Amino acid sequence: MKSKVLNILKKELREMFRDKKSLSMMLVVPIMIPLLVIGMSALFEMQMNKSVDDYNKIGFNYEMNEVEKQLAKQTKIKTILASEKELKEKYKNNEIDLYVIKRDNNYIINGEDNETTSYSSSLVENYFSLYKSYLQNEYLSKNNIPANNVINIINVEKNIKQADNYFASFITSYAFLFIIMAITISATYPATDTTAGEKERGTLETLLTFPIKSRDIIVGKFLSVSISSIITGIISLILTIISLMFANNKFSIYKDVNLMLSPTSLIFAAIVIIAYSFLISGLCIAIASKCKTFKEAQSALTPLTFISFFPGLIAFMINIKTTALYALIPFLNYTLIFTDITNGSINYLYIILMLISTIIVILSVLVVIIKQYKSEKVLFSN
Amino acid sequence: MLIVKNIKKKFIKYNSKKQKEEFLANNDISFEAKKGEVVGILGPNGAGKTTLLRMIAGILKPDEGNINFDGFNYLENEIEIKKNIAYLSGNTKIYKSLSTYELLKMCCEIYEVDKQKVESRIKEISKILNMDNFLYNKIENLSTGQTQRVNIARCLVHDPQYYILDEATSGLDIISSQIILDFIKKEKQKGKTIIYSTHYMEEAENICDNVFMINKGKVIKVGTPKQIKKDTNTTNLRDAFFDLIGGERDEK
Amino acid sequence: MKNAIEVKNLVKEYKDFKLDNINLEIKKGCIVGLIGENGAGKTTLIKSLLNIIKISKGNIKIFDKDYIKNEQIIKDDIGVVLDNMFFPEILSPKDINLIMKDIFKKWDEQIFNKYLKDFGLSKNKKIKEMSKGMRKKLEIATALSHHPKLLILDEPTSGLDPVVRSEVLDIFLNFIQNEENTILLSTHITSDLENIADHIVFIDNGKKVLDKSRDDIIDNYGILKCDIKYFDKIDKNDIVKYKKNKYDCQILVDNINEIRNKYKDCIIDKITLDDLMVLMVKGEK
Repeated sequence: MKSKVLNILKKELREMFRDKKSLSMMLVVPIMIPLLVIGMSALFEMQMNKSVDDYNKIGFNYEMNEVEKQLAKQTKIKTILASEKELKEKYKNNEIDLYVIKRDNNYIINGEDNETTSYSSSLVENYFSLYKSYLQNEYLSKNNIPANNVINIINVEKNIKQADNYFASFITSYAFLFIIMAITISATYPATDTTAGEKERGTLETLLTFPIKSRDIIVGKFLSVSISSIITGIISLILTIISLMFANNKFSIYKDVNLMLSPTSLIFAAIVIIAYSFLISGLCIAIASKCKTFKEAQSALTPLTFISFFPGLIAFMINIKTTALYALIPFLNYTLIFTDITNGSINYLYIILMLISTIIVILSVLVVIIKQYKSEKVLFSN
Repeated sequence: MLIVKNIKKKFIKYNSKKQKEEFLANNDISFEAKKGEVVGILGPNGAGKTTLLRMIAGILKPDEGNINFDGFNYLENEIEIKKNIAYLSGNTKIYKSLSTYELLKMCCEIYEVDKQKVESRIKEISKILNMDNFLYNKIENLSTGQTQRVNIARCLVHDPQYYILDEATSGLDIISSQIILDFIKKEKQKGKTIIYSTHYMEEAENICDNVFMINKGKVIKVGTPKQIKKDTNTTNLRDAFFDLIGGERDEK
Repeated sequence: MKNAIEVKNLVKEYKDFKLDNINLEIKKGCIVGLIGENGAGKTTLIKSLLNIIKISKGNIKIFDKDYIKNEQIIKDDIGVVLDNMFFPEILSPKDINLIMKDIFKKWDEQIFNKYLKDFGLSKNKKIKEMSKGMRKKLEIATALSHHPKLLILDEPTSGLDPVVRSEVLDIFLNFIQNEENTILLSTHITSDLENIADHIVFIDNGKKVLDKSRDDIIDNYGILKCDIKYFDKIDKNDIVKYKKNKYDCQILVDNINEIRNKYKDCIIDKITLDDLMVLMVKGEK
């Protein structure tokens, strides 16, 4: 007896690729990913690279000498001279970003903590350290002591490697979380169409009179939905990589980081996508085949979209690291392992554990649906 | 030969008080259908006709009793039986996004028609049913009558011995129904067995060799249309139907 | 007021179908049967009358009033049964009563309950638990319970067994006892029409091809059956439509008594509506 899975698969795929709605569902969500990656990068960049004009208006309550003026110019400070009272007033009206009050040899930097203060204060601090070393040099040379000997009495060099770029890890993690969601959303439509939809259209009755084992029918349907989700997943992955590469060149926040995955990482990312596609397709079919109508199935599948998204989101937010146990938990494991892969750390044990847990879930889901298709419940599910 | 023996089928229903209620859709039904015979299953709405025919077609499983096609039964030889039957109902639809040719080709593959013969078989059927001018059009663009012919074509692909037709003419106009009735007559001449349910007594009287009247899941009358008319002392099957079923209703 | 429905030059165009210039007068007190093939335009015509679909051209009057300007008043007097049940499946007749009470001014709870009782429908049974026949009966009961003057029914008996069908037809005959009342119904079961209809309207491919009283059709139309060789001897003016088989041919004639005298050696049968339809649609001219 030849298996009829292929016949069913062929029929399902033909129907799927002829249905404009199925096709667009396959592509709509992946197209969102580049928008997300580039949009978020642009936002970060705007935050990071504040124009100096936004925070360089500093008020001084004393007359500056030539040297001070020179240094202010050098550090791009715009000086506003006024009395202390006037400066307070101006600061209140946001005309200046900070103001400096001089009492004898004490310079006091005034202001309130807000988003520009840190930029302004580091600007002012920089100015004063320059001015300070100028005065120190002056003093030393007046007393005939080589300034260099004192000021550079010891030499401190910074040799700290660039830590993980925060933005890079943020954007890649979210992009891959979105791939997971794209697969989920795009799996729901064909799964609904092939089960509840077929019931509603009245073609299921015909299908059940064909000389095909119910097992073959359901496996064919399962494979067709899986193929559609894998296509979505791979398209998403390609779009993600392209948009990450684009962002890498375009935005200075990713300077010195390489967002591109290594070929090995790419292969493993594809493996995760395929495993997840199978899992979600099985779950979608299992839920949708219990429903009588298209509408009912769609509303029953909506929670699945959130369930697929939340464990990963939470894990990412509270920064959970992969462990053997987590690698076994469906949904959570995919995002965790994805994050690991994008960081370049590939742990074969975790990947194998993930695959094992996926296979177990898929098999048990398939057993349930095959049972359901064998009994007449599939036709009369109330 | 098809032998249906003592089959029973239970459904669970919930009544208005949300209590489970068992309901016998088919209660101890037996009948036989020989080669070259058209068997009519008649009865009021809700008598259990569709349930019976679905069980014969292997879509539903009886709770008790057995169904035997030429010595094969569903428990052991499901696939062999299904290869030898065709089921057509007024409610069943076909895949609309496929063209007629694609649908027939798919059916050929599923029914394992010899690969070399597929093309000639499709051509032959298309000729018989006069489908040449829309063979490559998508089914969704066809008219009701054309769709009906495609439906019959699908049943013919594997040249089955048994046809199971459940209210196949319901909701069709006289011209489309005629296509189906002509098809039944032709297949009967070839020695095929046809199990057939309808609400149109005139149709049944014309075409059936043997009639089983069922009501409330039980066979209440068996015989040729002639015999039934004689037994009930009526001139046509419609009146006989009223006599047999209408009477029982009044008691209720 | 003589006519319940008056249709003038009605045109409704779709991409691949056209309801072409239909003129129709339906007299008060009649049962009018609308027949034709699947897809001939029966449902389109009925939906046009009810203003469910907008017509492309033409003019429709119901009870002598423009059907769009006076839609509210007119619809208070029409009872409708369409192909699909328009109530959600979770409702029971009791719920329907409550809903309809607010919709129709003249809704009569007592009559509705009486119909339910007559039809053997339980007030509390939900629609999803009802069989096909019960659902149809409920729809008809609903359509009748606001004392309509006009019933418009699209295949009210399709899928029903003969017993239920005759019950339904009895209801229609009862309704028409009041001479103010009118029924327009479409159906595929022409034998029903032969029993109850006063008038037959036949639509084929979007065009009205026949509009005659039942008695006129039954008295005057017939089928002349003769050998194929004999066909040429028949006057072409006597032929409405014909169908040639291998050896014999069937000719539709509309003047049975004259023809009988003219061709004495031919068999001329009385016609059934089914035969009439088949010959009109499939026959040649």
